[in-house]
Amino acid sequence: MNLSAEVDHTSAGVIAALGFTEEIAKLRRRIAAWIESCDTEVREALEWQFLAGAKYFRPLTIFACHRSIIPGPIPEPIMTSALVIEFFHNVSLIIDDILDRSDTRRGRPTMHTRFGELNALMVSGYIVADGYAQLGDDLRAIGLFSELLKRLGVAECMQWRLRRQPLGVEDWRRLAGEDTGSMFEVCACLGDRSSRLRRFGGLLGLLYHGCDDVGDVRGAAALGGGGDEDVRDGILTLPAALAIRDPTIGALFCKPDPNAQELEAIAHAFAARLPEAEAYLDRIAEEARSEARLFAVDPTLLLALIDETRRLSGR
Amino acid sequence: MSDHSSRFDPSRGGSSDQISSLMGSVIDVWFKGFAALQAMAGRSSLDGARGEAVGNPFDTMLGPVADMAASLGVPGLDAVGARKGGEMGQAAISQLADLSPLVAQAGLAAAASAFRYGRAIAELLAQYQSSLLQAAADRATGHAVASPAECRVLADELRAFLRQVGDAAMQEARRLQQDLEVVGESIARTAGDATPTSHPDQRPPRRTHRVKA
Repeated sequence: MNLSAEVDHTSAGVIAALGFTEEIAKLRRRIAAWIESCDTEVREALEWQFLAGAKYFRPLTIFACHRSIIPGPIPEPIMTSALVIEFFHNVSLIIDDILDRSDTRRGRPTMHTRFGELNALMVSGYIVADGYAQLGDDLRAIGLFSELLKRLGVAECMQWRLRRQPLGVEDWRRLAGEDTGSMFEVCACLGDRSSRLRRFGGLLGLLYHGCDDVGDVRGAAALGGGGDEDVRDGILTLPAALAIRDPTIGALFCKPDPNAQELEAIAHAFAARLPEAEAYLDRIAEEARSEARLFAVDPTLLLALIDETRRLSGR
Repeated sequence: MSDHSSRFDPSRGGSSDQISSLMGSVIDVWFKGFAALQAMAGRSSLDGARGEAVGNPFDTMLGPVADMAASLGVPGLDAVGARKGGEMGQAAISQLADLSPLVAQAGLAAAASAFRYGRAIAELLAQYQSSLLQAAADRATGHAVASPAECRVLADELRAFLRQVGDAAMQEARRLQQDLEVVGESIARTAGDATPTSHPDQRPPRRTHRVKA
């Protein structure tokens, strides 16, 4: 299996900048070996999902958090945690794509588009089950992954229930904090093994989520562009939370079935709020830097990770 | 039957009167707390001017440490120990001499933490003062001047303010915990070093791992 050309171009630069080229290569070999060991019935779908254009931001966060507390090589249990976080992250992508009715991801058909919804759902269950099997007797990691799955489930339900409502930035912060924020919080805890960097992870996740929101509005190629689904579904993104402070846009945003002209007006209003959204993201980045400086033994890698994440908005 | 009444639903009860009333209550509570802080600070400075330590929270906190240091004669503890002669073993005196600066260090860490938290709250008050004052003015005039949309923005601002007050408290608590654990590790090492033993192999195990959490 050729793995050389499969890393997302932007991410390859980030991986090199953080100094984890070897570790990510090792992780990718482990993913490939795991797929080879899986049932032939699901293998093609797993290859489709795992071996194209991944960013590996979550494993990078685990590695960086570990090394910011304990210098030296990445130990095997941490590498396994990185493997399983990629499993769980991909499950969340598969479910998101089904829910959002997204046809493409990373420039090619999504798993449910390519293999059908039944296969996508069953493969998701297969991945989760094997993820726990990979963890063996690492009870701390098992607890953290259980926390993650529960929080992601709650976040998805909450986000869907709160669509098309005139909410605020604080609401966005709560939703994003339970969605992407919980993922990175758990990454930090898996890396540092002490919860010392938990809050840092939460802030990094919030920053990632916000940059993704802003990048989508801007159509940033680095994150796949788009964001049309969010506008159509009335999802509370950061630019949305700022734009719907205008009562006219708020009323359009809350309409159950907006027409094309109204969707265009909403999208235009979101774009107009990008400078304000960027300024808000700068403040989150600064909070994360403060956490890194206060609680990491050596914050250098964490500060670099914040900078790389901040660039994802495509500013 | 499930009860979903406690689910997170920020859009519920969103009329401007209800928001105004809620904000008014928050502002009332906040200003009462702030007045209490001001009163304490004012009394402390007056007490300080009279040369009394009573009422100053830092002095109250550091008082026992100062008393302990004085009773041990720090600095120059060895001389005190020599005067007391057989009352205290030389090893125990040496151990206390090592420990007392560390206890003082813990007290200073706590004082610095209290100061940092106070400063963080002051910065937040300054940052959000226009929102706080607007909410207070609306409350005083007895009616919400702002439109429902403006009320929502104001409510968002006040929620951000309250969240950050909580965040500041949590961060400072974790920071103090970390500082005190470092001191605790030093105390454990010092206590281990000072225990008299006849042979190096009989010394208690020394903790060498880094403090985590």
